[in-house]
Amino acid sequence: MPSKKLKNTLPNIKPFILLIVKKTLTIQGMKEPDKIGPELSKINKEIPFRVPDGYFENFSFRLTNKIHAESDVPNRQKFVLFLKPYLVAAVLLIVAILSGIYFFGHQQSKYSEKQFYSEVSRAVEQELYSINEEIILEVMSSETPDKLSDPDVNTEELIDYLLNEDVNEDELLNSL
Amino acid sequence: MTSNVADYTDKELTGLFRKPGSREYAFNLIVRKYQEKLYWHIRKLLIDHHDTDDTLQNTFIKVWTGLDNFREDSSLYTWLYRIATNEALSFLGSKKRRFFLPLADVEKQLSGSLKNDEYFNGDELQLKLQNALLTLPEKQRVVFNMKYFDEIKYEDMAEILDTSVGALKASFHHAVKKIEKYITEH
Repeated sequence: MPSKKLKNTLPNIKPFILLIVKKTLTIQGMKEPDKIGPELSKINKEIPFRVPDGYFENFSFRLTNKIHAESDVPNRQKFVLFLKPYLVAAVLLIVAILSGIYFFGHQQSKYSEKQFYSEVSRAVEQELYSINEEIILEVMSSETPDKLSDPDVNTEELIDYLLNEDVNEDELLNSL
Repeated sequence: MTSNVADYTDKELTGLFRKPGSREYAFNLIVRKYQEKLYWHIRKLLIDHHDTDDTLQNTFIKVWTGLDNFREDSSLYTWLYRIATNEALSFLGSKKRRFFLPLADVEKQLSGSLKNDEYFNGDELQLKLQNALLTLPEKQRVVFNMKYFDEIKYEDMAEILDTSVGALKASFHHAVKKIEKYITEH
């Protein structure tokens, strides 16, 4: 049994003992660097693993394919990275053009549908008001008699036609 | 004209690699010359065939991209081993980070998978040795494998692992002691 004094001292000297043991083993290792123990001597030194059939025969081929595949990817990535700002700019430009076309077209169609008709009808109205009654009478006196002078068409028939047929005002105006 | 891969020296192979027309041909010769050695070096560390296959491919991809800058201060052989060792150790580290596992647990997992590994064809004692190896710190395991299985000279190992010969000898000795102890106790 170790004395009480030794028991108290042991924890303090433990690191030194370990260091001495380690140094001794190291020196021993330096002296007999290749020496193996009795247990290891009993073991078959061959590597206890195997590989799938044809592994080494095909390895070079698989490796070359992988290298080519990997060298392709960075080139493609570099190209995409190079083009990226231009692609983004192109997409933004296309979006801007398309939305411009849409909004302008929409506004223009609204304009043409509403404004155009109102402007045209206003113009036609103004044109009609600007026509002097005397001119109408003059035209009637100069042209109507000839047209109405058709012996097959009498006044009554003409009135009937105007009353019963769906005669468009615009057509009348155009034919004047 | 030399036709067999083994007939080319490393210097001839690197020289051939630098010639514009024979770059791929030289690389293929290097792969054929070293693929098995590097495979087994990685496999002993990673245990699993598929992990080893991935790591070996990454090793040679690094060789392909880095061979232009290889200055021949060291031999091609030690340079290749250094890349393979670093790749294998990085793989173990990434596996640990991926699964949030302490390294000891990764090794425990590998030890467990050994029994059911279809590509493990060792006997009981060999299985015990592999399990004992998985209890060692990574770098000690590397040193033990390189010395015990591959019988690489300490001087070359010092170059590959960037450590002194003395430290490697001590490391191997410690590894042997621990393995002996494990085998006796299990």
